[in-house]
Amino acid sequence: MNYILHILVMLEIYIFLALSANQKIGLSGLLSLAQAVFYGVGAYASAIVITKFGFSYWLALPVAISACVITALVFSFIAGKVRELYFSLATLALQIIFFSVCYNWIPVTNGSYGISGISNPEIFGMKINTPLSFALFGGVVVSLVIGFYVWFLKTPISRLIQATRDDQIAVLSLGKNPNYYKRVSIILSAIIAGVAGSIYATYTTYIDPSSFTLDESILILSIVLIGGAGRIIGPITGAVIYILLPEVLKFLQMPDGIAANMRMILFGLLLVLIVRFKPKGIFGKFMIQ
Amino acid sequence: METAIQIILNSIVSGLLLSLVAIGFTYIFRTTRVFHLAHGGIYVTGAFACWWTLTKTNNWFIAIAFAIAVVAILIYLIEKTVYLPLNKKQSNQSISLIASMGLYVVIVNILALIFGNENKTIENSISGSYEIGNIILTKVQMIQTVIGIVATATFLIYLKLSKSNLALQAISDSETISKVFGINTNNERLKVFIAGSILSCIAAILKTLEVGIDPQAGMSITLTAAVVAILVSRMNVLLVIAFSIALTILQNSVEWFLDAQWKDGITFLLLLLVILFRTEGIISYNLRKDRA
Repeated sequence: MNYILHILVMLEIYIFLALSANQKIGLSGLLSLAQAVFYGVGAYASAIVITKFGFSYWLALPVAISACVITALVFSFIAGKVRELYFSLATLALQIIFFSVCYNWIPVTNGSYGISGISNPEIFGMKINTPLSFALFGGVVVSLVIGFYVWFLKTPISRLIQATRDDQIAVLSLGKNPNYYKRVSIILSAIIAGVAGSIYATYTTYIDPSSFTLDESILILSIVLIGGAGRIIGPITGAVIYILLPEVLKFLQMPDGIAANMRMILFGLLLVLIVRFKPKGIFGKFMIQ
Repeated sequence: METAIQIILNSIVSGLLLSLVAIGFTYIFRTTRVFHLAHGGIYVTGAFACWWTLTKTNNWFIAIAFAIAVVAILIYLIEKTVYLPLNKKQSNQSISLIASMGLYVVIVNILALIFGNENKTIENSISGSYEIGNIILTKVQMIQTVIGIVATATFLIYLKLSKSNLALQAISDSETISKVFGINTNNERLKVFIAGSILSCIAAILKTLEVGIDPQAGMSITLTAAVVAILVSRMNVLLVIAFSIALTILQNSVEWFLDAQWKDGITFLLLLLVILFRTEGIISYNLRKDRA
């Protein structure tokens, strides 16, 4: 039972990450290779203030969000300067720099040893420290984010963000600043990924740089592109496929050692096939041309 | 002083190996506009093919020939089934980048499934070294240098004899106009993919001699080669070699004075600065206004 609940918690975290990446890719058309940076900033900021300053989770969360917003401002500066492939390459560079900093800034991040002993959150005096309570907590927060997107996608600012994606000059002709809408989109994406990071850190109670690598960023991007960018259902579908794929392989009685590689082979193959034959993804609305 | 000379000497050898990967990456990127991250997958495939054949036959000639054949067939299949169809659909560079990432993930995990994730070394590998004062040059480094130079020279001769260089420059400027002037662009694309992959395969085999190979080893060197391609921003073999060696000197200096883990951070900080403030690359020249 605990195993199923653990799968559920990981699914919720990946839905979070996929929705955050969808904000940048699907709504703004910014192909970022550094979504794991925001995930990592959220996780590290929470872990550091909880373990070094004794903050509670609810005090650590605003710190994590603030750190993500500051990081997002760096990304939005880049998005204002370069576009398309060069934006992707700049984010790739930031991803590797972030990993280097996490690995080497030992007084703060504890390097490759990581940070352990991160305390669990509490709500109304109840500690969230079992897989069931985390699954419920994650479920509530994911529902809130999905509810937010159902509302947000109907707002004028969301339409302007999508208009910036489709035609920057048209947005300029309306007297609007495209860079402002890119900035809003990147900040929103960063906040959601940061919250996912803080939940991940308190769930596992231990983090190290290996969870926030380029591979992780590529994985998050793949989840969105396979599920389909631009709609809420797309990233959720991508996350479900990614998390449930190993379970299907186990059902087929594949040994764990083989299943781990087979999962990535199938996922990579699916990504290539999607790009080749169904560029909008399974449920997507927007296609990177 | 001797330390500095040793660092520079090691950097020249490592830089030459990097330049083999970077030449392939640069020519592929500039000609086809594919940001070919799967180059890392090709790199490890070549190394594993050579290692596997060596364990079975113990014959270097057969092993190298088999490795080259495997990477040539693999890149042929990739170009025909993925990159070329995307190019025909006039997909942009982001799409081919995503496809390339997917291909890389597939190749690396297939290799991990077949050979496992642990590092594979070549048995009875060449040992021994030459010492001049306190400066050491191993026999493996000597072999890497000689074969690296021969491979690069062969590529240059191929470009000269086949007159491909001009065709590649033309495709790089405009694929459509190249077709109008009778250049078989599909053929040239395929040739540059195969030539680049063979260079990468040779680099991988030479590196395996020194440190062995594991399925994940291709990404780091490919990303560094990509940095060289962006910094140089031109199809010029000698410039690619010079930048590869300069970047390796920077990396090895960082490794010596700071920590090995900082070298990727510093390399990509350099890439970020170039992308933000000199997108056209470090070496750029003024084009006539009507060509700019």
